[in-house]
Amino acid sequence: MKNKIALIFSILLFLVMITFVQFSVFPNGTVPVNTGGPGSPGITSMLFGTYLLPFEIVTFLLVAAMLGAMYLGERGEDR
Amino acid sequence: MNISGIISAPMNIGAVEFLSIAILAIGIYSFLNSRTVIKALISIEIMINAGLVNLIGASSYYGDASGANMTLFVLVIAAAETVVAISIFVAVFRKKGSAGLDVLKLLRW
Repeated sequence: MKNKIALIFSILLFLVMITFVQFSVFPNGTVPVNTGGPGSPGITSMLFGTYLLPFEIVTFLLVAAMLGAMYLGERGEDR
Repeated sequence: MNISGIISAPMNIGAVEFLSIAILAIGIYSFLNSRTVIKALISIEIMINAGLVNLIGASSYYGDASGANMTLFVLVIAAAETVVAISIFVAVFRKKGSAGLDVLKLLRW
């Protein structure tokens, strides 16, 4: 029963979302992400240039997630 | 045929959107069917990846690599979120002895 409801819901959602698909060819071709196109630099120079501060914040986020996992996963006596 | 001929072939944004919507529907179906925590987390990851496929397609459509950069950040944040979720469920499993999705009622208080 739950299986059928999930199937019907997902197919219905798929059919609703598929009506919003617009077909148009990429205007300036597929821009290679690693080297960049005419309008934007590559992904690496952008990551270490424009998005350097979010990159650093993400490192702190990873450290925080690692410490949180270690704290939650440790085998304590009081829990 | 060299690689630049493959890259400069005309590509349709509708194909990317169709792929993204199909993956999202599969993820939603799998999430609604999931009875264990691991399957729910995998389904959430599938749905996140569907959004990322769409994001990369739009980013490449507009010729701007910002979307591809944002994809990297979203991947990292999703990994951190999965780590926190699995840690919470390990703690719940130690406390309750089972870790089905119904144990989430414990989080009400």
